Amino acid sequence: MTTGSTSTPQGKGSPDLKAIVRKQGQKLNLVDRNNLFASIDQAVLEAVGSHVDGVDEALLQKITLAARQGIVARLKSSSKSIRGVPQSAFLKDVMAARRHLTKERDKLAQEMEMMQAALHVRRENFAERHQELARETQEQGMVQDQALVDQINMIFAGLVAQNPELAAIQDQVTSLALLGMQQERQKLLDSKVDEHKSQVEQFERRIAKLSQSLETTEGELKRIAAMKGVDDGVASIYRTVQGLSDGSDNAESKREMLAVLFEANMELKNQLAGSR
Amino acid sequence: MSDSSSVAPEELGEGIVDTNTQSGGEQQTFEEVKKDQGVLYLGIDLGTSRTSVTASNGVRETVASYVGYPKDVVSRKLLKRDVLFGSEALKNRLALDFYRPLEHGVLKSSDGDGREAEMNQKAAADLIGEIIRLAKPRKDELIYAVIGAPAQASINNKEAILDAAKKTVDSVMLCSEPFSVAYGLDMLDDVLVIDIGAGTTDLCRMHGTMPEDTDQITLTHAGDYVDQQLHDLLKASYPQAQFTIHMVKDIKERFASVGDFMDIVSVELPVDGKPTTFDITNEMREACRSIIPPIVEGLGKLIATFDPEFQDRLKERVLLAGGGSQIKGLDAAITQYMQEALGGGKVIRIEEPMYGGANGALKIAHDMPADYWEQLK
Repeated sequence: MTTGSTSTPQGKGSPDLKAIVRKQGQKLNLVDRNNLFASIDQAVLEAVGSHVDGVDEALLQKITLAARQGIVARLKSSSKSIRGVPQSAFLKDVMAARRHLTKERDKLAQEMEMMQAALHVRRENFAERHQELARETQEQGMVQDQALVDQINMIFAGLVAQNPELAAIQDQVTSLALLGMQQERQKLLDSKVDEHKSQVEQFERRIAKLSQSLETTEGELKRIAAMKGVDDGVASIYRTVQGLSDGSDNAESKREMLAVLFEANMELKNQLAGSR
Repeated sequence: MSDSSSVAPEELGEGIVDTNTQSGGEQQTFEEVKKDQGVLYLGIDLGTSRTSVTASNGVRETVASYVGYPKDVVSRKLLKRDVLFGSEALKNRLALDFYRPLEHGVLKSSDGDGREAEMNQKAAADLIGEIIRLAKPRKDELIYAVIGAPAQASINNKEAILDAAKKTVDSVMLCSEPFSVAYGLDMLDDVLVIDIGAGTTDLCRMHGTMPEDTDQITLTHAGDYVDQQLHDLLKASYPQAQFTIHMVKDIKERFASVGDFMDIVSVELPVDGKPTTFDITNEMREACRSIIPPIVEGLGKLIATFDPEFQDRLKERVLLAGGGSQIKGLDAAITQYMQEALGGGKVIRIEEPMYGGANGALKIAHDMPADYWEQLK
């Protein structure tokens, strides 16, 4: 942190802060109408004063008034010519953009409608297919289970006759085999259900994407519609980038501050770019 | 580039899609407008309560920092808008999903999650878009903006502000609000700035260089705090009166004062639905005065850590800015409190509290060199 500087204009005594604030505050009115008029008046006064001696006050007032009116009228009349695009061309483009967006919107809406119908059918089919699969699995399962039990019975038939204690083991083997079989069937059913689900989800994602595009297009259309009134905006008083003038008060310290501010913003920009 | 002003837009056929093909490639399409017709500088003060812009085309606008979206199809049809701003949003808030995106001096969205956070982010972006739109920028001009952001804005806050602005402007910079106020007034040396907003009060010490973190103090004793104080005092004094915080804020904005001999503040508030007159002079004074001690305490800290040789000079150069500075008699009251607590002080209220920050930001934008703007694009 630096200590107090010696560069201030208010070095000693009690400074008239109100006057400073008022004075500096006026500098902020960069495009104030009154300032513009005051500048015109001053310019006329200087121009007339440098060429003519003793112009009477009334005449001078008339000249300044005419100059004010002339400049305002000129600014108004020339405002079109300094625009990048003539108003009619701008309107033409707006309308072309609107037509293009309308087509795009209609196309998107149609596509989305079709997609939603397809999704609806797929969902219904899926529900039916799911029930069907469950029924088929159950029916097939009963047959498969019975065949498995028969096979096990056949294997164990002779053994149990020789050793009745093996009957308990047969029961256990049967239970485990049936359980394993049921689990495999369930896995198969689940995989089929998952396949259907992923297809439905894919449809839903595509619909969501279409919906987003549609929303964006609608937004653009609204923006275009709002431009119909074609408010071209108000022209800035500056044609080029200005920058700090060398004659500005405290130019050197301001330049340093602007550089620090710029560096901080560059750092922020890089930081944000890095985190994305 | 040809001028096709003889062709009225209504006369254009449906088949026209590309204007280049229609005019032999001579016309420039809207998308291709070259931004070579001028430079528009914008100074924006993004505040909790109000957002203001001043522009180098002479436009100055301010809008209350409220954003509302119709709750349903019925309200959308009734309001005929997809989004409302400022006092219009406040007036219709019951029919709206209502947001105050900069409450407490920071973008509420940027550090949170979920739909509420997302909507606050959108509200902030829409608010920034609206204030830029109000500045009436032309499409063929380069737009360079400096936005005065809350001094304690986090990186997420700043990212959200920049993202919102970049949709409309060509290049944008952020700066702290109190700094922009001081820069705007060319008071960059040995000055203390008090910027009273709605969410926060920023105190900033200027000493000829860019203020650092140690030069700034942020307090929550600001406009919203006064509203809450007044609300609580009125509740205690007049429990039968019915009012909301919005009504209290409105009353404060009309009658805020700290003077010992201030005008009587007489307001009508409903009691069981019947408008009843209340004298709230004392409550108003007490609520408005509640921010003075913490502000002076903060100033004291900034003064005490400054070069002792220049401390007296610093005390005598205190600028009062921000919407809260419009409280009648506040400059004199802070001066008096400083003299009692710190042994001296002189506070000057800036001429345009509503536009002080925006004016300063505009001046910074104006003074910034061209290559800086280019690099920040």
